[in-house]
Amino acid sequence: MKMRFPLIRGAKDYAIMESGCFEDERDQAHLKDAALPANHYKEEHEKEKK
Amino acid sequence: MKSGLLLVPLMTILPLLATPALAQTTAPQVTPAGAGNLAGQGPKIDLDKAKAFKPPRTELGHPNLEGIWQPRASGAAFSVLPHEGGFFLGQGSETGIIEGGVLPYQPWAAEQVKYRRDHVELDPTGHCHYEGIPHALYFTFQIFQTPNQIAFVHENMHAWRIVYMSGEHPKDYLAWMGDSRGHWEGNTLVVDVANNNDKSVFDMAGHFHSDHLRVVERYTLQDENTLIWEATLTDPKVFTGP
Repeated sequence: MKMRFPLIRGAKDYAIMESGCFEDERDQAHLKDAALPANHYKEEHEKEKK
Repeated sequence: MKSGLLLVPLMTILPLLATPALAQTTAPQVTPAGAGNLAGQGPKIDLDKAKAFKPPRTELGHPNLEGIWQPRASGAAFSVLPHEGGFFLGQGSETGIIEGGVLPYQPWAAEQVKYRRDHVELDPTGHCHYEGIPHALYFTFQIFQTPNQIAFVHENMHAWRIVYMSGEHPKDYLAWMGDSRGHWEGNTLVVDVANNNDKSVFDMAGHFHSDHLRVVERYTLQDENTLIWEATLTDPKVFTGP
């Protein structure tokens, strides 16, 4: 299986900027009571509930 | 489940959508990359042009790939296959990024794709995990070259990886970004990515792989400002063939 796509060069005065979220952050901040898979960080989730 | 289908990816993407505005207030010269580029088609790939191009070189004589690279990946973050437009991606893609437009999943794996599509809460990017290769390459990144290592620093998910230009893949080791070993074939950087875990995914459409995934990437400058990314992927655990 083959994949391909082009990339274009950023301008010389560009700088990359980190974005996104840190690992596990989204679980803790947004998925306390919804959509968590079974046993996914269950221990931490239970602690938060208490 | 329809609304939930979009919830987690949206939460993941929202910080990306905010990037340009943030850039304007804190650092005017920061590239407004991220989601704005996800659906771009970009320049046409021309392998003959790439073959004739004489790239700038490093002190060691290798092609100099350093710089910031913005992918034009046809909305691959949403689906690597052809797909309709909508949601945050705007236009759709008639081509996707898969040659032939087909992922040759084994029957059980095709069922798993459907399950994952209906349970997008399982998408690891919705939990802020690394995206792995190739997924991380759908977003802007910067390349730094040294004689023995080539570093990739990604905007998204705070990810990075080092491509070692020597040595062998370690044994009994799996990682979100795998283990990358590179070499030069003429003007092309070839990177063999092994040791991938089975947790990263190809996109948000349920397309997944196992820990037998192997990605052989090829980076070739087509001209001063265009980089061609090609990859051959094998995964005998989930696909019927190459």
